[in-house]
Amino acid sequence: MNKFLYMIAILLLLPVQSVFSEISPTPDHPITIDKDAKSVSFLAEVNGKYFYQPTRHFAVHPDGSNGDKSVLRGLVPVDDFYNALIAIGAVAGENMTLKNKEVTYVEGSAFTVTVTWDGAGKSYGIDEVVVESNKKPITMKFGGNQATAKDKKTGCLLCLDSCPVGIVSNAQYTYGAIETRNEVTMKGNKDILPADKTKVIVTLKLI
Amino acid sequence: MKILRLTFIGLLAGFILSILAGRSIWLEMRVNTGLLLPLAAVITIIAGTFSTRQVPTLAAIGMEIFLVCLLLFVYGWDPDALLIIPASTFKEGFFLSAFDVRTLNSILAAVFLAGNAVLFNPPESSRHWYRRRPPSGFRTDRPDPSP
Repeated sequence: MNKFLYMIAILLLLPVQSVFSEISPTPDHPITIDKDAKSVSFLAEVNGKYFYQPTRHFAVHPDGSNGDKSVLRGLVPVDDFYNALIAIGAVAGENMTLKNKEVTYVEGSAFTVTVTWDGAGKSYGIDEVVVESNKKPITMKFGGNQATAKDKKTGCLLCLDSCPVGIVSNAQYTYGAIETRNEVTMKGNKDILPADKTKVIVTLKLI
Repeated sequence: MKILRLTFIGLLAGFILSILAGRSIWLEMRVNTGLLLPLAAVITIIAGTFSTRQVPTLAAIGMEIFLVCLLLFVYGWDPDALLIIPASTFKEGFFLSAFDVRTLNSILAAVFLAGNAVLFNPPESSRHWYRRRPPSGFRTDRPDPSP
């Protein structure tokens, strides 16, 4: 009788375990999609250098030319990230070009971006994990830019100012606000984010 | 030995240049500033190999002091920053992304210890401040050749 009950319990728990494995990205499956919640989560790794150096990149795939220039190394390929956002119904703005980048704010579906990790206890908003010198809220929008991203091979997933290459970028500033016009500086928040090379999960939820 | 001293001096110069270059966000976002480390080392080795002058020990020590002062000036007395920034620069320059900060700092500490050991152990030809002792068995009681 006991054996029978154990078997039923195991059979009941199997689908529960598989549901959890779908929710959390792993190194083998670094991106997960939750169509009901309209959210995408991907695995990333903290880059401690940008606790101390300003940057305009939030998450970049390490194989891209900007792979070591971001607060987080996003461990998901650019195409997979783009396709995941399309799969949850996000609409790309596609209004940024290499010519208009300095005078154009990125458009497209907006997301709330949160970050969590083992032992974090909760999910932190992007405004908590990034120190923004002007204290303006970071507004992440789906720029799209898949063709330009493929062409430039920068690996950019999320940028901290409007970007013609990054898939998602911050609509608060136009391109060049950080690098050339010194309107703002952005760094990782060393008081909140875990140590260098710690794995974190970044979640984008469609607003 | 000369090659090792030149390599160490080149690495010091590379560190100073990459930290200065990293102050420009525009440059930092476009260039792997860590590449200045191997680049400066190679240039120093080539320049030193074709030069007949001695490798300047005092200049190297001055560069070490300048590097420490520069790090403190740019990042302040923040032990975490001082552990991360040189390690990250070294990692990017030599493409050691598989290593964590602790391992990179261990490698850096070994490089600096070895570099200083080489600096403070100058080659035989430049030891002007003392005379070598004659080897044991060497005859010093030669007969006076004068009549």
